[in-house]
Amino acid sequence: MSEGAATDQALPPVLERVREALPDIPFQYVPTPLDPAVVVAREHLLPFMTALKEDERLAFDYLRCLSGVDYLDELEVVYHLRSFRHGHTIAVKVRMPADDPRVPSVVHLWKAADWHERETWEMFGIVFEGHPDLRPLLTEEGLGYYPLRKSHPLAEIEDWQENLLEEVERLAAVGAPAAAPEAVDERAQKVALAQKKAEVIKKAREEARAKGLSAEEERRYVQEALKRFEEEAAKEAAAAPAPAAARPSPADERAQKVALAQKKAEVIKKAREEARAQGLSGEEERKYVQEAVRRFEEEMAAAPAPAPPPQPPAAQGKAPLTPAERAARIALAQKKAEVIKKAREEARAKGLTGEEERKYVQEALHRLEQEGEGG
Amino acid sequence: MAAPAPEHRHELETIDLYINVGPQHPATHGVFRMVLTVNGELVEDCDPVIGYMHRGNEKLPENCDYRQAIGYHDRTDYLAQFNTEWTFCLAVEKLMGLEVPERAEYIRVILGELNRVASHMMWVGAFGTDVGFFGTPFMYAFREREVIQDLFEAVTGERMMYNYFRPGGVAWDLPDDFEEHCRYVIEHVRRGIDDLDALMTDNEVFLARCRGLSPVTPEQAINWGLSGPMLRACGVRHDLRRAEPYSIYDRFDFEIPVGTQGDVYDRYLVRMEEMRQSLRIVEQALRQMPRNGPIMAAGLKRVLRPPPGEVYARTESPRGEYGVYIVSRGGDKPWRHKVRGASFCNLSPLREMVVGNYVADAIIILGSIDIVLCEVDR
Amino acid sequence: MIGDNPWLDGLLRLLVIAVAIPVAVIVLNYLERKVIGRVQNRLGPMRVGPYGTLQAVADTIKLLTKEDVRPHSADRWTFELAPYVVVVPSVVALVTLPLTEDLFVRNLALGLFFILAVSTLSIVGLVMAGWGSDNKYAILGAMRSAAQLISYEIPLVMAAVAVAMVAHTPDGRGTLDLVQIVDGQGRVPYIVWQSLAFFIFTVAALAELYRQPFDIPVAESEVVGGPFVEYSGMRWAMFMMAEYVNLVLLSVLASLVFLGGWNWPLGNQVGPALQVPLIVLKTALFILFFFWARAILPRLRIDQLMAYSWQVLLPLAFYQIIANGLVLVYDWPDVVLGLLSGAGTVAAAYLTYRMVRRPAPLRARVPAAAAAREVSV
Repeated sequence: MSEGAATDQALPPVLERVREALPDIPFQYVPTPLDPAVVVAREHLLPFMTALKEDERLAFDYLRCLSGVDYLDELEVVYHLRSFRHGHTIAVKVRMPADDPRVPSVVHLWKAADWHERETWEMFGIVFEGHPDLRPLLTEEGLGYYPLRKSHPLAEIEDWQENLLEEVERLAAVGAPAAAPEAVDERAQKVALAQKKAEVIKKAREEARAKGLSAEEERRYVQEALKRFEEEAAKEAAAAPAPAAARPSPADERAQKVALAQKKAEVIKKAREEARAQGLSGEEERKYVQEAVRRFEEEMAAAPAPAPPPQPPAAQGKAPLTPAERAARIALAQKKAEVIKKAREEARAKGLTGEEERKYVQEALHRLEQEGEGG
Repeated sequence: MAAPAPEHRHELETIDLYINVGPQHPATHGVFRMVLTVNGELVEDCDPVIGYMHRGNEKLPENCDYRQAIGYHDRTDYLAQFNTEWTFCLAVEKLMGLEVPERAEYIRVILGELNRVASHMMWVGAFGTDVGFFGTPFMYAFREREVIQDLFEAVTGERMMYNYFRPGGVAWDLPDDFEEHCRYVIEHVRRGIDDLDALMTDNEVFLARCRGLSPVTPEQAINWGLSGPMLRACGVRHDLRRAEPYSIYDRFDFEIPVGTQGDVYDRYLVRMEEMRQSLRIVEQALRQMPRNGPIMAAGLKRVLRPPPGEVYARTESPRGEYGVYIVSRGGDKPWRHKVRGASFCNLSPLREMVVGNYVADAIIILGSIDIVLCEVDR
Repeated sequence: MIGDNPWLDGLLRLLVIAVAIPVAVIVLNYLERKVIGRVQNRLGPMRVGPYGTLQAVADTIKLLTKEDVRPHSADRWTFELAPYVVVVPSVVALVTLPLTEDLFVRNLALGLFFILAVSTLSIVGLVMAGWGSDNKYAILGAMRSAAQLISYEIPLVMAAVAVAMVAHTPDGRGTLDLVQIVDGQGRVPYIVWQSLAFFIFTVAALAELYRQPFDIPVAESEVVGGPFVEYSGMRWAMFMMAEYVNLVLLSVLASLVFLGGWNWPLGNQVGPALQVPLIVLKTALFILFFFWARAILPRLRIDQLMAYSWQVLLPLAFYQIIANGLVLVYDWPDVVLGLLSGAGTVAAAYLTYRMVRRPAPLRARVPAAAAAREVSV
């Protein structure tokens, strides 16, 4: 699961020195853009780090950064070191299995590691053996979970989002959006799952607090509750039928809503013009418009709700526009904008303002449309 | 044989006093808590409690693509936003092997250095208030900050949270009158620094408070992980702009001020001089900047997908070494996004620095570290 | 004597004082904010009233209408009486302060002694405020303020006494009567002959007013108000009033004792129309100096403060008294007084300079108890 592949390239000078100083400790070289990185086994970590600090040729006296990384079935701790004497830098990575997250602490070598290790412990659950004071730094005591682990709820949505993006691109390339509703349902499922998980955690914590458990026990209680929930969810998923495609896809729904909103806007505009033509103003105009909107909504409610077409939305105007159509629409919009601009300038040159200018511009637009229809 | 009876049976019993310099306190520069165990006036133990500003700035960008994450860095160190954005953009550029165009580099340098001046101004003002000035350095410093923030507003539209740097360059070009405006700012700020200097540097009471307070040796500083002006005040001539040059810093001629004892007064002197050096850099950059040119690397897709890999990019922010460690798995979102805040590392040895001093000095030492709580807690 | 009735006369004069105090407080508050604002390159209050002149009035109204909060566990009577114990002595001291030969409520032959003695009583009020608040910060602030005020009271009194010793009177030298002290300064103000006493008096006055650089009692941990932390509304306003009344008191006292009051350089005969502005001008000089010092100086730590008082000001005050005594005994001319005092002033300046420039002693680093937490792997 390593992202940068270990290579057999020529070692940079720093690592040559490391090899000289520590011939017995094997390491893998992983090139990264700024610092050479090495992966070291957990049991070799302490002698490795001690030699890095104390050996004359290496003299890494500055710990700049200590991070934990979650690779799903492995956890990793990354140490970034610098030597003031020689000016070289190195990144040391150590992996450990996710169900046994322990690693020796380096606080006695670099005091800077103190707070970094506390934070990595509380965010990932990696226990630093030998740290004098491993208590939470940034979060409260008894949180019950490790926030930066991928198994924390946010991870599900992240994973799904990555999948959906790939899915959408694939469909766009192929041109068959039929599979979209399925992915969407999975999304809804995953979101619901994540929400349920969060609720379970919350309830478990409240119960634990009501029982008066201490921090450690509370954490264990919460973890047990989570495990039970996951088992149940697994059983349900096995038994549940395939998600029906009865739910209208959100893309369709959205297009529907947009069309509805547009129609409503047209109704409002027409009602306003009629009101002004009739000479109403202010309060009366508003009432007139509201009546019109109400009538419109009654019509919509009375009419049968248009069923979302289960077939691919390639039919009707909800279709994604082909590039040619889109280009045509863009060209039309640009022409309209030009006409409006020209009309405005002419109106101002003629000395028209306000209402008259607006009417002039509308006439120009009108003429354009007629040309378009006729041409 | 029974032990002899204790001699001082009727000795006066004294209890240590716990003073909670609590989360709500005007002098702690943010929501920060120090539990001091005090014997009379002497501090015997100090337990810093942080985490009040923890917002998950490392977890949330795992759900954002690489351009959305820039806003999180703005809000991490809200006094040096250009520098934090720069670090993140540097990380992404190194991962993707992007080449930033000349003009964009110069823009970044100018804005980053002016941001350093603004940040140090803020520190001088707040520090003066901690030491007991009735607000005079604060007002002087903020007058300069306003001038600089006007310039930033002209460029980015914002007084804070600029969100202007992008991986590959900057978001849009500078306004036409930028050079004039910038020269005016440099002149104004130079005079402002002189004013502050005249007020504070040789002020006898200021000296009496800050000289020799909590000195730190270079070995201690390196072991504790200090960086920035804290480290340079101890005598270690280490500035990332020189030691591990990034961007185009190798083209500029500037000095690195270094202190001797690592005490509070040295930190003040180092920061004042750094402001002057930053203005030098800005002047040079204005002269060398190409008049026009692209400000964004060509050929960037709408969604950035760095190849799988990891990088730890670091820049010299006003507080020290601000680092961003990104692990990418080829997707459009970072797999791990870690922020190494300079204030976090500078604040962790607080106990060692404060214990043994007086209570009133504890506040001054805390002020001299120049912490920004959002960077400490992320 | 107004109306030939001592009771009526006394009452009317007291009324004048009673009216003058709030007015003076309001004016001084406004002036302070304006002056400090100008030093800080800003305008100060500008909105309430023309050029902000009604700002202090608005503040007074606000303070009067504030809720009177009393901590539940406060020691009731100590807490409630503390503001009065702080204000009343200062006002009483004002009673014997002469502005010109005839402008006073009652002039005592022991005027100087009375004023200094009575104004010291406010210290008790501060300690009452700190203790009665039942708040750690308040108690710390009260202890610090008591220590500071008592330590600086001594050089203050001794400097004033030194001048009183050599004040010229019709019957020889030495008087505590303020009118006589001013009368004796017709030709040369005492600042010329007693520059050291002037220096000590001014510095000690800064400390008595707990203003920068000596304001550690009221800036306990840098803004929490020391003994005043639990007070709100009118009670707090009374503390502020006491501070401004003290300011006026000490400034007038300084101009009377050292700058020649209403006498120099115009002489005793010109009449109040010119003398009152003169003494107001001299007082204003001192007040502006205090405002200025507040704007530009940070605060000293309590141990530095105490060291300065006991190790620099007090010995120099002793020296001044001894020098004055020698001059009196051997009947040397006043010039000798001036020379001896001048030498003392130079010594004071040098000692002060050395004290602030001396590098601070390195205090112990991590003590043993904390070292036990080190990890040994």
